[in-house]
Amino acid sequence: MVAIVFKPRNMRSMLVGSLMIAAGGCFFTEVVNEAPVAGIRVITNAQYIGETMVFDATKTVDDVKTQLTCEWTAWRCEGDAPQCSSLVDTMLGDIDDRFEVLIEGHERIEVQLRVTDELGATRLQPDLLSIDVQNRAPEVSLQVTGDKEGSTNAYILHRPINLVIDLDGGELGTDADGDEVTYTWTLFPPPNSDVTTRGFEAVGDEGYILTPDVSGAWGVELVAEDQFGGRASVRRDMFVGPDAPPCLQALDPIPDPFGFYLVESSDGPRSFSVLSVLDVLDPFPGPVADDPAIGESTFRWFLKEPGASTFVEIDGYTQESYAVDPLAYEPGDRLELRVEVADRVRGPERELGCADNARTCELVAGSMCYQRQTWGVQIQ
Amino acid sequence: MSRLCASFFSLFLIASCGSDFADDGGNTVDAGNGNDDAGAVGCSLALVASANPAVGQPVEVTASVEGNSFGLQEFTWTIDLGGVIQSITELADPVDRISFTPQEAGPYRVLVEGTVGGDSCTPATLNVGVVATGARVASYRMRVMPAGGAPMQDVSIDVYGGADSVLPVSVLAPGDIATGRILDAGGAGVSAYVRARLRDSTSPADYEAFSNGTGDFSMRLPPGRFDVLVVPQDGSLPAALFSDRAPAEIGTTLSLLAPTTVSGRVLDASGSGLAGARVSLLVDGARSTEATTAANGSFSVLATGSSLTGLAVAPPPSSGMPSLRAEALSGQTVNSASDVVIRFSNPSISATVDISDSVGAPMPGAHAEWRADLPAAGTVNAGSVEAVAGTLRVEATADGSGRVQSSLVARTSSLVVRSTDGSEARIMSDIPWATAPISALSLQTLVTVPVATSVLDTGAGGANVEASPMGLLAPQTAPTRSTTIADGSTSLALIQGGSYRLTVGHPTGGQHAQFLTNVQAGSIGPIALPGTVLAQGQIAIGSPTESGAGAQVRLYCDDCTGADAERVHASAVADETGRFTFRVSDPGVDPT
Repeated sequence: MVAIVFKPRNMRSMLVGSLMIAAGGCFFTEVVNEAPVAGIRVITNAQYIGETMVFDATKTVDDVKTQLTCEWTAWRCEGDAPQCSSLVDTMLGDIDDRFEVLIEGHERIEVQLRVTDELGATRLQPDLLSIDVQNRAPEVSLQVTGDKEGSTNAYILHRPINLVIDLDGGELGTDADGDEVTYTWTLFPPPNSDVTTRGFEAVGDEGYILTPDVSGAWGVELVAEDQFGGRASVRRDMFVGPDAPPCLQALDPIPDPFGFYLVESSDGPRSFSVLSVLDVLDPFPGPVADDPAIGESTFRWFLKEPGASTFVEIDGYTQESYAVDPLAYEPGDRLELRVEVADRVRGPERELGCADNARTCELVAGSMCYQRQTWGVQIQ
Repeated sequence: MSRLCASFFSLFLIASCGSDFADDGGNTVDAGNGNDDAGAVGCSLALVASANPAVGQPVEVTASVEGNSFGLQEFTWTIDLGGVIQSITELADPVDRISFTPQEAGPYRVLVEGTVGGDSCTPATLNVGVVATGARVASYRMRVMPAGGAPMQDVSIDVYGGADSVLPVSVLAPGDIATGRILDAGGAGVSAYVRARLRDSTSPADYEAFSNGTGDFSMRLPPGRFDVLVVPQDGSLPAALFSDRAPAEIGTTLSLLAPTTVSGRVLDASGSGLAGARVSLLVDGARSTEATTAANGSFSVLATGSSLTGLAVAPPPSSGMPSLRAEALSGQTVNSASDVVIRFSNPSISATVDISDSVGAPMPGAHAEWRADLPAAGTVNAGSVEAVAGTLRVEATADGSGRVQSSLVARTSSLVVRSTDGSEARIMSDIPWATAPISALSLQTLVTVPVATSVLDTGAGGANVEASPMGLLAPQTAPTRSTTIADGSTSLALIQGGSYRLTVGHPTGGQHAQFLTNVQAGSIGPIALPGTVLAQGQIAIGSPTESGAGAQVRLYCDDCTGADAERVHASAVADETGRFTFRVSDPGVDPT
């Protein structure tokens, strides 16, 4: 809301003068040079600290048509005090000159104009411009970053979530008016979260690290307040879920549900390889840069030898690739080579429950995220 | 596979932003760079750098405006190496051309932002690889498996030592999609394994697919000519080879000819029929069906073609006969009237060995394996006699007294014996069993071989050390692995006299490989690991404007053979812009 008010100055004396003239009948008098009358015109409105008000004067009455001189004065007012005693700025200029007032604080500002003609007649203009400076509330934004599962978009349980005040170029602890801002953080954990097992630690003045201890909907509210009643808040809700199983993404060759790849004796050993694994914390290939938080998937390999009825794990073999040597077999032999992937999460929930003869297996049915793939291999 | 050299767009320059590239005939520049709005403005920037950037030599970079270029042009440049901003020299007004003088080797990132007529253009970045003085070069074969839009291809790349480097953009040929159908002689679809092998290729180049129940298959192939092998999956039909086909000739109906029944006999060295042997023939380069010999040694297989080019015979394990394999017979004619006689040579002899442990105690349960490669293990006669090579492998387990025996071993064989727990073993090579058999054998405790590793004269803790058995120990023996402790040392327990391939891998130290023959007690090393450098690359498909997002990239030795050729030196997955980074052994620099 624009807070500019024009206030009449000396209203009562003006009324008395008019009545006296009306009651006195005819009389002679010398020609008197009347003081000029001018108005204050707002060129550029402003109401916030840091902005500049721009005014000029509009001449309305001057009987002698002489050059006018304008004396501008801006006062800073303490609260509702009737007398504004702190001088902000003053300027002496022509009628066409503009007067600019920079708003530097929250105090009300009054602007007055005195106009004088060349004969010395002067008048403090009756209209006083009063500017109520508005308080800008703090703006607050919250940046949330952390490891998220691509499939669910959920933050990963037990992994840190960084909550940082997004200053967007501003300074921590102040708002656009330059006012001191205090921040209040409020955590809204799921009901089954335990204060002793979750982490919610301040990192300097600008953020927190949340380490969720249970899956579910978590919320964080950040309130920013200045001392002038300005207040802003932001709430960010985060869904936290368990680390999803790793997915065998690309393999070479591509396993076929039924087919058998040919491995010829004349070609020598042939490698069957995992090219990539999708996993937030344990991808494969692993990161090229050192990142202690990021690991790498691990593999287990199994062989179903020709004529065998079950798969047998290749003891201790954990590489991403396994070479089948045709010279270890006879032409015509058919075997099956299986790889299973695991990330850092262990436990019964990660035990593959598929039948031994199932070529593929996924922990989450229908997810198309396979933890087991099998190649059929035919020796020739 | 043909070796597709990477397209060089200025030396070692790669574009690195957005999905759009601009090729001005010599450089790759990207556009987009995360500024989604900029594309609507109508102008974008492109960058070109001078060739052969070197330490201490000014590198000129020129920006050009593409699209709407009318209006006042202003440019802002940022060049950094690992985040450290580099000083530039302005060479023009407006500043569409600058130079900088790299003081050290590495990948410099050049970013130019600009406006035309006050409107922002899509910025561009360019990676300029500055090679270290005296840098050594390591050549690799980079196998690229695109997520789509192109077939697997090999690209030759060079990695320079001494600093992180920038690889040229690899533009893959999109190839052709061959969509075909496999039909049997009666016109019915055949479920089959289909392999198109690129002819005239120095590296493996197999493109594989499986046809479904109606015989339909599809594969994306690079340019070239192929030999297409079709192997029906149910084994009731013989394989067929379609030679010298262009992709268009593969993406059609491939009709299998009506197979011919070829009969024959498998005989032992005395001329008696051998029952229970598995037989398959290679006719016109394609496998016949497999048959098992009857009691009198007779067999019948189905084959397509008429020229006998190979065979495989797997005798029953109890026979002690060697397996016969031939891949390059002369091509005797076979047909439904043939009687193909396969006869084993050189009757085996018996062997008995008493196994004891290293202190002389009997070793019951010890596993023994006789092996022999026989250049003339038998003959095949489909009208004329040809020799056939063979491999003998006889396994036996020691009885309760530690005695192991086999009635059938080759006259000259090697013997490998292991204790049940693997802690003791013995290798005996090329023993003339016919004239000087071994009757008693003491096992030996595995020798402990200390291994020392270092990176820049500091112990390489955490290095993975692996000894893969070779020769007589392969392929049955599992690799021996260990991890170095903080001072870079570890030890391996290996079979005395064995042959191994030793590999050492360290996250930042790089890789090392060497062969160990006739292993004896004694230390290995110190192995000075070379350290690693990062190499940035980019995959494009068809043209530099098409990102190879999601491509799988693996690095192999360029000129290795055997197991070394299969060893993966680095792997990576290209991001949405086709860019990838991998860590690879530092080739180093020549001393000045």
